[in-house]
Amino acid sequence: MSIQIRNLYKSFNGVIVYKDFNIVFPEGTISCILGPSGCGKTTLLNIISNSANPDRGGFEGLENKVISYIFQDPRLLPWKTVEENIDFVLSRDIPTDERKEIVSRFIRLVELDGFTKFYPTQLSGGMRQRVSIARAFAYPSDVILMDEPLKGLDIKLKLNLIKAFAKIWQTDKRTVIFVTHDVDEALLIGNEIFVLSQAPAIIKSQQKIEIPLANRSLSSNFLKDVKKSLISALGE
Amino acid sequence: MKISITKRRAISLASIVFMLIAWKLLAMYFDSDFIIPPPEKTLFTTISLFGESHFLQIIGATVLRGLIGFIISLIAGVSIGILAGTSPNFNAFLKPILVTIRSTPVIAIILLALIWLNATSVPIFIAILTMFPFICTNVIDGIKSVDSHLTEMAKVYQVEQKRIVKDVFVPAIMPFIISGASSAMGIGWRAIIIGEVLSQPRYGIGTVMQTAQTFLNVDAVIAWTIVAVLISYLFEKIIRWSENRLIFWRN
Repeated sequence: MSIQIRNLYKSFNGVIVYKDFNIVFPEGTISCILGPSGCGKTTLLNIISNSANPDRGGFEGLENKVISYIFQDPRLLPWKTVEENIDFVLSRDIPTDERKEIVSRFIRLVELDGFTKFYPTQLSGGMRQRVSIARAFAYPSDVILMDEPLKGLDIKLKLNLIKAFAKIWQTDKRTVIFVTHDVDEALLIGNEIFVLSQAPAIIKSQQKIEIPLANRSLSSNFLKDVKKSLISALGE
Repeated sequence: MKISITKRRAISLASIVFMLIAWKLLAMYFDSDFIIPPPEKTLFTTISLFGESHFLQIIGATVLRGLIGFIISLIAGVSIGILAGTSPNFNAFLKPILVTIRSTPVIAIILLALIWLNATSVPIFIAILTMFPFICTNVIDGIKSVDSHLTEMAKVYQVEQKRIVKDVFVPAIMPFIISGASSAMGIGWRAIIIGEVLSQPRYGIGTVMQTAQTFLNVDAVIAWTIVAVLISYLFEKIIRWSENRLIFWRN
């Protein structure tokens, strides 16, 4: 079931961030939210993950949904190894053997096989973010929220992480809501791209990309055209 | 870098030599063992203490009191500190109690404890009342400094509160627990010895110091003081050593 948000109202210290806002995130696809900083992208994720309360609004398709979150910073526990960090979020109702199996499967998927016993400080920034991606997928969630997880990383690392993410998502197509202000990231990851305006936010443009993640190239004519229209929507 | 470390060591060593010379000069000036015995004589007295018949019992009794007091303070300080750090209401309730304990003069507590308790328990009681607030306050400060991003992450992933405490809070506040434990130990030994001087348990460093003072054995008073300093130093070393093992992830 898709996630629908209807007539959302939210204000912060008198500033109206959302006013009668509507959006639908289809199930099993990656929706990207593009928008200028301060337009309330993170607020939207926090409302979906229930860490912030809306002033008013109707939600559908969120009941009993389990949520994973990939944050901008990896948020790993510095005193736990790679495998312990992933294991940390797994419910203790799952037997130890099964948890071990899950953890090692997702470590393999993000290609950190040799690093299971490493502590976060012994890893590079990109590797830490890969642990955070593995953790989000290892957790049995219905929805994965991503809040600019690639911000501040260099382009090579970004492409690397997008590849890792695409690979793992292909095997396990969960509903993903990806927030970013980088148009290229959205083009490489999104199935559905929404451009939001300054607060109070409205959807200024919505684009659909049906090319599989692995076959996308920023230099293809189709993505160049989409990029043009996204940038013009952002610039308005 | 290496040169500067050696150099600083040399300066620290010079400081110790300076204290010894000052001590020797004062001893020569007063020229009386009843006021200030010379350092070399005190050193011999200290060494001869090790051969004294009840030396191990005396040391053992004091160290045991210190450890009992410390362990009780540590367990109570950490658990009550975590409760107060995570519950603002409980913190508001606890604060006046901690302030009262901390600002009550130690001697007042000792006088009351002498009425309430037996000679052996008085020093332990005093030690707990001086050590517990240190550890507890440090833990509360530690909880405040826990990265809210990590607790937020744990909550999004619906990790149970019990595991959040065990796997997020406790490791995060470990540096605070250790620095609290270190300062608590430092004042704890002093409190125990004061308690022993006044309550006169059968064995204890404070007990023998009081006896030595009565007979004007100034060198024995100083010699036992040196033993007390050595014990305190040893435990400080143990705490620092465990710090490196418990906070391994910091490097």
